[in-house]
Amino acid sequence: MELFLQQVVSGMVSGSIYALIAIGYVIIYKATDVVNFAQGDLVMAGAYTGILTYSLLSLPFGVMVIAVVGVGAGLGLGVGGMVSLMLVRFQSSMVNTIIVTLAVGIVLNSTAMLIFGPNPYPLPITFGKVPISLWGVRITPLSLVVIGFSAAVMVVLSGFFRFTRLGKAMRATAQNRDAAALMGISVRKMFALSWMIGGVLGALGGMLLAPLILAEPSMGIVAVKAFAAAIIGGFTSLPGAIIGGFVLGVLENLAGGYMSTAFKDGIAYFALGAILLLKPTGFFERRAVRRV
Amino acid sequence: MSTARPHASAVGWAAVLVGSAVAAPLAGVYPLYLMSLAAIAVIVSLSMDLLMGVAGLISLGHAAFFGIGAYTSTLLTAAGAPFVVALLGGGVVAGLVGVVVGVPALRVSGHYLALTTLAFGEIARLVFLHWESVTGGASGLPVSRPALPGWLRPELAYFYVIVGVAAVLAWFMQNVLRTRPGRAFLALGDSEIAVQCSGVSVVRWKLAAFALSTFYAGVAGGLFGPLIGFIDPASFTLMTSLMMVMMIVVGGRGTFGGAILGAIIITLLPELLRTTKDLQFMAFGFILGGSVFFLPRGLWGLAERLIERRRIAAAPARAAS
Repeated sequence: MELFLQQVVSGMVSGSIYALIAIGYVIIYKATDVVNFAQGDLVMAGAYTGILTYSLLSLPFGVMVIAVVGVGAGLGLGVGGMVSLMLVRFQSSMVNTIIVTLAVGIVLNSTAMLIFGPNPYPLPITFGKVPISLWGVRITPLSLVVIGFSAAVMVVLSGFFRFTRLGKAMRATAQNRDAAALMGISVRKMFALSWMIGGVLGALGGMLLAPLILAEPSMGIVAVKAFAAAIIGGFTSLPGAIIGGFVLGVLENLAGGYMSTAFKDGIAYFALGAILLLKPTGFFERRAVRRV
Repeated sequence: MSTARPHASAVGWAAVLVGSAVAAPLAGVYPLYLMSLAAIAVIVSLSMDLLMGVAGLISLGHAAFFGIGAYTSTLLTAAGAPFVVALLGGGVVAGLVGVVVGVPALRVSGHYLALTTLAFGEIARLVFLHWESVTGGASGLPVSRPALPGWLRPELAYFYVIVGVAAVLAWFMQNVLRTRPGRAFLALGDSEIAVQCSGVSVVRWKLAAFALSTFYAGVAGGLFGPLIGFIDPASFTLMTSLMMVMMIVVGGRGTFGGAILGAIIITLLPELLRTTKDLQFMAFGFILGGSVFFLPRGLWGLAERLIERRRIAAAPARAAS
């Protein structure tokens, strides 16, 4: 039982990170109908920004967070700008949007490779080394901070979407672009904002991930797991993506703990296939909407 | 597909084929190796073009199918199967796995296929790496070259085998595209909704396109192993899959010539960029992104347009004389 609880708690730590990255996918997709294939590289960029500011320049934690948010917003806006430029000026097909986001991802990835090299870097944030014991489950302060930080971001975000004018405008744009434009909402600005928020969430995910694993240029593959989490949630539901992230994180750790660590990485991919096969609309989507 | 003068283009491609066959004996070991690699890339490129250029689908995990073909045919050869059986076996297994991967993803939107294939590429790489009793793990498997008539240099004889297979597969693909299934594939690329309204099953034909494409990738993998003499998981990574996407994007989508041009260029690109070393990977990103912006129909489309422009410019002169 204790092993079980221990695995569930560790699962929630990685799950909260998957959830953050997954929300990034969902916000961009809901607003613009684009799946951001550079999301994984934004995660990577966030991790390296953390390393650059916190361990190489030894700036305080708060400054690191601000830097990561800035980099995430900037890069997100950059990717979105490229995609929008292509959609407006050139052939707009799904394949093209995928290729453009992939290409930006490759450039980001190779930039990281060029600056930091292929070797993994640690991000030594610990918040104290002594694990806290809760009902027999040992949890490190860092894990608590990761879960707490992710939860705080989610609360702020849902408050933003629910209570602020801008958040409501974004929701309106996601629901019906034309109607939103007729209500005087600048759809272009809402698109840009979605890309920025999506980028920030990816980068923050990377910043939280780096202290748990090591940062390396190929760490962006974690975004595929976040994508699986978003699929569990139906890909257009924010609460769904959050629950999907936690479910996936916990499942993954249980598989790693009870079966074999070799299965740990595979679980997300199999979940992805299984859900597409059995319930392609996910578990939190009321209806499948398709724009024609 | 260039339908304007099919016979003229068939003659042109036959000339290219004969030309490379005649030039091959004159080539040194390394150029011949690159030519063989390019011929395998042509098969891969045709496979990608069927998805991306014709049917409007995308696979970001084609290296996995390439790898499955390579491992399957290597294992079949080791078990004593003749080369042709091993090659077809590799293609068939890759095609079957392709259907299994495609069934869930193709029922929903195209983005799902892209990320599902990407995820599958990772699964396949993990399997190649961890299923050591079968795949040899990270150290890979040695591959023997098929027994060929001894009066040719072995590399040269094997080059002819590769080119022969590539030519047959290219010919077959061109013919498929002129038949009913081929028109269904083309229609999928234009408008899925129109296809549906015409009473053609979108899912079935998407799946058929995906199966044929992964079969081609598997056969290409079966040819790849004996050329290198050795296969390991490092040959079948996400980067390999992205290079396959680049072939079609750079060469030109939906054109036979574009697929072949793209295959050759992407095979030679690492040679051309050798001096740039660390920047090579970044160059790939810029070439991929830049092609979408500046060469929407690829290099082949650009060439066609330039030829067309020259012809129009020359036309009044001819009329006057």
